[in-house]
Amino acid sequence: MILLLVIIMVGPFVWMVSTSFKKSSDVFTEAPNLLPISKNTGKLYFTVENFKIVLKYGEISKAFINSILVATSATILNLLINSLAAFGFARLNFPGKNIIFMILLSTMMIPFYATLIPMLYITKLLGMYNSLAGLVIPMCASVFNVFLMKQFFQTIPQEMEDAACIDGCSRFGVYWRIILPLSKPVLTVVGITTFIWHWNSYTWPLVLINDPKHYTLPLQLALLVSGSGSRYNYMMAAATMAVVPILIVFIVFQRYLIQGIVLSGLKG
Amino acid sequence: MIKATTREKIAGYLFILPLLVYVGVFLIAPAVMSLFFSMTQWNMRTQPIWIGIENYKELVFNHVKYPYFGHSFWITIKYVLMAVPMGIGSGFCLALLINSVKREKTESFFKVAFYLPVITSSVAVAAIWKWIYDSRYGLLNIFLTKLGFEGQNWLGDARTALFALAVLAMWGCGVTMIIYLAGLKGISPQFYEAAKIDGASALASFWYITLPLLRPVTFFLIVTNVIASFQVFEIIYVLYGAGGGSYGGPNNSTLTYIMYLYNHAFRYGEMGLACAMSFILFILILILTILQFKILPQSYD
Amino acid sequence: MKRLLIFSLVLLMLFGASFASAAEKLVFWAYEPDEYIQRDIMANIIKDFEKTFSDVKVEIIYLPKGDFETKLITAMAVGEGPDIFYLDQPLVSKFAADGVILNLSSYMRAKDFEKNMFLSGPLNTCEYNGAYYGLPISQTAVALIYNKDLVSTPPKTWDEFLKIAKAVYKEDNIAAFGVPSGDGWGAWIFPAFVHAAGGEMVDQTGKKAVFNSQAGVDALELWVELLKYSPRKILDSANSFETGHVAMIINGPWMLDHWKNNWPDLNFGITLIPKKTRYATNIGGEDIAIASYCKYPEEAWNFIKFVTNKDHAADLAMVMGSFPTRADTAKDPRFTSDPGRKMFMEQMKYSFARPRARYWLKINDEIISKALREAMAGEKSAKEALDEAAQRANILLQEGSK
Repeated sequence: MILLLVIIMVGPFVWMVSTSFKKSSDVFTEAPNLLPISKNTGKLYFTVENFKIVLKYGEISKAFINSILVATSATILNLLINSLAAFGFARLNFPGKNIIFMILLSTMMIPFYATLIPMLYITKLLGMYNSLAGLVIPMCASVFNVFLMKQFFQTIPQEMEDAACIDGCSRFGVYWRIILPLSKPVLTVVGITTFIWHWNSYTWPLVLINDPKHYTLPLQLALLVSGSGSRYNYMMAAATMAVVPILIVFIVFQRYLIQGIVLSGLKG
Repeated sequence: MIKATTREKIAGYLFILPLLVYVGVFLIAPAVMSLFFSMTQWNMRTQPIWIGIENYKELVFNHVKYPYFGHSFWITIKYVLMAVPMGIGSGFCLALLINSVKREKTESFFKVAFYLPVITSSVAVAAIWKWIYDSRYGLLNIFLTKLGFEGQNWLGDARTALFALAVLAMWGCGVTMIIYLAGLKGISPQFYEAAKIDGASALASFWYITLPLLRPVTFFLIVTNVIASFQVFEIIYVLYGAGGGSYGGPNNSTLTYIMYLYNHAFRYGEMGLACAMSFILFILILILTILQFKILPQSYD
Repeated sequence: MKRLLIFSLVLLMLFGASFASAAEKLVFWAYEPDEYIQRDIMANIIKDFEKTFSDVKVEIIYLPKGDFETKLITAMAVGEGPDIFYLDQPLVSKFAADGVILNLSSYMRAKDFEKNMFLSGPLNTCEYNGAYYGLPISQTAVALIYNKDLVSTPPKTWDEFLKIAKAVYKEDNIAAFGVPSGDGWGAWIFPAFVHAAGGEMVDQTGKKAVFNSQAGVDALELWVELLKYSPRKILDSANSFETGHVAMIINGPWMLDHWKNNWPDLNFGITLIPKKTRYATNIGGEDIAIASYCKYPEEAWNFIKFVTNKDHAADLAMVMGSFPTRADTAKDPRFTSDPGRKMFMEQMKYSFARPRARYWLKINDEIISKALREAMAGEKSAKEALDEAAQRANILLQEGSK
């Protein structure tokens, strides 16, 4: 039962990877093969031709670096700005707090395509059109994540703060030294999802960047896909290469999604 | 409630200041501009022409020009009603599954495996699911016929297409899953230990400890999943976008509000109208969210 | 002013590299070609151009074809559009009406420009209100493609079409013809059949829909009839043609490479779409246009003239994966040697352009496709469905011409 579940979840991914090792003629079969099997001989094989061609013509390396720069800086900014704001909403009191929060929430409900062009225009006004900065700054915070973090911060018992702050500490100290370390799970979630979101982001880079030197990976790959038209094996080779970094990020950081709070300090 | 001191007030504002600046410049300003555009006729090549609330009137009343306005609304609502419970339910179950695993390596494996759908390229996702749903030799139909049911033309039949999409959304619940996982991990084991000492059964501690403590998370997930489902785009784009079509699916049964909006913005050259549609959607989601805030329990006290 | 704006933005860029150059620069947006090798061909063409016109530099930027229009529109909306760009045929009249592309008629009247070398079909797609706003660089059309293992002699007329369909149909296994669905694609194919029955989609003025004439009804009824021998269950299955479950389909030359690469064993043939009274098909393809805000219209004109002259037009068409738009390049062996391509070119002799109405895409997607779907689902008779559609289309056609 669980095996079936795993297969369903993992299947498409496996197909993506295995197709990147197939020859064109073996891509389309009556039922998609999860393994690269030759139509003619029925034997297992794999070819790295696809990867070679994508690397040679796809001009991936620059896009790769761009993507890493953008995703990393965006993630760091996001974690910072979002957690600061979430802390403010979760723990501090100030007039208009709830109203401001509702207004912020409502910005999540604005359909993206309507604001696309105005956002583009504003970004251009700020001089960031066609630049990597323009990929980061307009996306450097997220109300979604603020909301998420707020919910989590609110579950941390007040007593922990009070206990650790017996001698008094600044609000920022509370934030930095107590809330953040206790929030590893939610910070991990936000970090991972933000990184992956930025890594795979396509529409905004598409309309923002004119100069191929600044293309990010999905854009570069789309060029490939569009060019190769129907060469699924190239497309999948490119997609596989694109997914490797975020897979690594996920595997590495998911271990922080662990049992968070150890209350030993409170006993007694 | 302790009265907020002035220092706390200032601190509060300072903490949220970067976010406010960002939102003001990059979210609210464009939204206001969009509202302005919604009252114009604008094909993006020329200057927008002011027409006041014409767009809104036409959308609601002109059925020749906009025959699918109400239809797309209805389709979207149907989709949300299916996708949200399914997505949250499966995310929760998967998170529970992962959380119950003892060995760390197995746990890591499951975390990665169940999150893969989220990071798989949407082209690959579309290709594989088109095969699973295939009317002749799709995996699903083969499975069903073995059980004695009749196979369907899942993606090509107007009756099943939307449901098939919702299932796909459920499959991609990885983000919901890890958020739930983070929530589960955040529940101090102390609670469970205390319950065990009091002699509570596993089911009881689940019902009286886990669920209530997860209420903030669940609330968050419901609100955000509703908002996201209303704006579903990518999956319909890749599954029904072939041949330069209008993404409507069989008999327009997958023509959600956003797809309809997108068509008008980028295919028919009616950007002003698309902005009007966005504003209407925004109001609707806003009302819905406020309702959720009033009705749903947000925390465990 | 635009050049100054670009220049200052470049300076502000994160990796501020300065592009100061004495030459005039033109920005050219093109589709990513189908094969990487074709990028080199384009690069050579540009190099040749820059050699001939030494004071101009052309910067070519490739974009994914699927998102080209989105990108173009949004860039122009914020004032960052290119100087020269490909333009899908149906867009030319829209862009021309809005005045964002240059009227090239005066340039084209120059003595050294061989205007009549261009085939009239594609050239007409660049025409709007009596003037020309671009040059055609490629054209394509759809034809009938059949599986030689299932159909030995393809049909030439509608009667033969139905006869063969009945003969080749095998319940649960073989569908006769890939009848288009009642959606945007189907609505695009439909006119080919209407024309084949001698009808038109709109009248001379372009303000009245006439696709509900007898010809239109005949065309739709043909589809309804063919659908009896082509169960949707088979048609909707993935790769049903390639796996030999559909005998005949309608599609375009862009599939040729797909089949060559992914389905080398497919034994297919290409022929003209069966006619009732005349052969007909749609025309598709790209033109190349100059933005009206271009700083150097003279140089831009030189470029597009260069790229479409008889030395380079064939290369360009190859890069696009479709067919040349000049009579002289049409004889290029690259196009005539491949029997498949030759057949498509033959088919293109009978192509009819889309109506150039403002809301045509909408009419296509929402009104015509609805009629097709209703008739094919048996909800309405073909005549009823088309009459209703024509009524609604007329409202939009009227409004669009105001």
